[in-house]
Amino acid sequence: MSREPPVGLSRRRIVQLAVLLAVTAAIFLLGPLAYPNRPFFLTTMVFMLLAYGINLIYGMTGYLPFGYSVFYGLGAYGVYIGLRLGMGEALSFLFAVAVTLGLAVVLLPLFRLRSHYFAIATLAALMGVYYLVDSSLLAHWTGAGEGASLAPIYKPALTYYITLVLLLAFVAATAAIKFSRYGLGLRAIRGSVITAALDGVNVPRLRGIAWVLSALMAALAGAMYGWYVTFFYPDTVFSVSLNVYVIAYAIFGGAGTLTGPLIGTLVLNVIYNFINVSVYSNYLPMVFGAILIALILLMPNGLVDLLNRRAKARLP
Amino acid sequence: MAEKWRCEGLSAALSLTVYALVVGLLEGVFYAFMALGLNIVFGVVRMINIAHGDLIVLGGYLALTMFSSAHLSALAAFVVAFPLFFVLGVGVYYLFVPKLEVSSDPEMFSFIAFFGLSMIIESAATLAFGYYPTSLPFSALVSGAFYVLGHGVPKAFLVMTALSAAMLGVTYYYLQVTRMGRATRAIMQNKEQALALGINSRLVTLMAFALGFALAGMAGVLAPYVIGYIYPAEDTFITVLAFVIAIIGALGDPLSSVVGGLVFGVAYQLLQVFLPYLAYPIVFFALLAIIIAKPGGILGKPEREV
Repeated sequence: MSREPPVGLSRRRIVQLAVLLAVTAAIFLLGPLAYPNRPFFLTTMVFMLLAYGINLIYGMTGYLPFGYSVFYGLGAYGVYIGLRLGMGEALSFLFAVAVTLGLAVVLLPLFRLRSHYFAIATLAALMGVYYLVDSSLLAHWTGAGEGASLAPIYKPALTYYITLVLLLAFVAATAAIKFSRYGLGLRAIRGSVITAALDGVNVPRLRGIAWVLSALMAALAGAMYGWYVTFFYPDTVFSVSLNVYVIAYAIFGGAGTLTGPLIGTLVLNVIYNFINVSVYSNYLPMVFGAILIALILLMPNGLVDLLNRRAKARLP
Repeated sequence: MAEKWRCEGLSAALSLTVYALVVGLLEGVFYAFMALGLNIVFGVVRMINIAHGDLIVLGGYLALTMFSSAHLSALAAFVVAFPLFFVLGVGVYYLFVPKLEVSSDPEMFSFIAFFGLSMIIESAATLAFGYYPTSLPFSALVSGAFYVLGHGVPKAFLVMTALSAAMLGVTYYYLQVTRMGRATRAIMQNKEQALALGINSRLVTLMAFALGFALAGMAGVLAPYVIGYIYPAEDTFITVLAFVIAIIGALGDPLSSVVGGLVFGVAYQLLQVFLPYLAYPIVFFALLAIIIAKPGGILGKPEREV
């Protein structure tokens, strides 16, 4: 395995990716036939989109945005605001993406800082944008506390399939990044910032590209979520706890791995829904808080890494 | 009432400005106290205690419970909070810090671990005290009000400011004069050198960490007055606010929080009076701007990785 070059899509990697894409597509195309609860499958996909976004920025750069849902919220609200401004349907989605990318670019200088400054700064961005959208001053465009409705463009089946296509695209993009020269540069930075910088790796630029891509992923996830549920409030999408759940999903699966976000989201989201419909739903945040602490203290590299190491240990 | 209507236009704006300055300075001392614990913890372990806001919420509920169940004054809660939160701090220290310090990414992992702690405390508080905002009656401290150009200010604010100032003084004494406090500052400035000089880093760090928790709990007892009400879900908001105050001063230099608190208190009051709808967004975007431009804090040293 170590003889495989770090860069380039070898035949083994292509086969692996194809299998992964086929399994993912099968789960979400056939799943609703066995268990007719499309909203469950859609929210699972939306969580996976977010987990891939976190996977890209945290798993590959080590920078964890605790205010990540600011992009998710802007994705959902961007579409609504676009419609309120009289843009067409397609243009509203473009507008949502453009607004999100604009904010991501404004935050680029944060990548010159240590990671905990980045974490708290993204949290500040989330709270600032949340209070701005929630402010009754802008209620005419944002709906503020009254909530935002996308009912006029409700197309559940179309949303479902577009979300699935996006998920497959995110999986493929993650593989492409991971096995590219660019991905190699990111891994070099994770190994040692100073060594990578001395070797001519443009550290802030490489991190910045991952950041903008990851913001794009969250914006698309938010737009799809808003489109599907059609009605949301500022605190449903600009949510601090949503971040924490998705971060737990990504880290549980294994940040920086190709399959981690899928596996982590599948397992933890099932647990989440299981607790959520039980009488213990009040304990949900407590359980996830404990899961987060246990993960970070005991297995910070996640499930996929754990399984890989087991498999390697068994080899002669 | 008639007198109130007479001051219009410029004079109304002027009297509101004076009012905002007075209340802003009174509250500013409290804000400095509120950020003190966060800054001490950050100073010694270089970890952002994202559960800081939860400690403050818990302190608020301590005062509320003692007042509503036994009619005990908030002063009693203020005193009781110190040992309670100190012990909590010792527990959290041993659970988190030794393990995180040797992890592959202490900065990020500590952020995640403290966020987990924050979720646990928030959800425990919701189960125990409910979801809805509650306020602490002024009579728990002192009833009545005094007037600044016709605008009422509760007398409890004076007591609150005095208590906050007293605790800032005690912390100043601890850090500047006592042997333990000087060792703490040595560790904050340069841990390796402090170790080389034979300072018992583990003990000093533990004491400062637990002190940070204790101060947060005590500030929490007074917080319902300044923030208006307490509810479990306001934890992250308070943490980020405390971070704003810490960074207006200098991160890792607890006493600079005094400057941060006063500046924030006055600016925040002025915003509340003149731009009420935009006060919150402006505060958080200002924090963002400060982190981007001067990440070590306005009075602090620059901190850059690349």
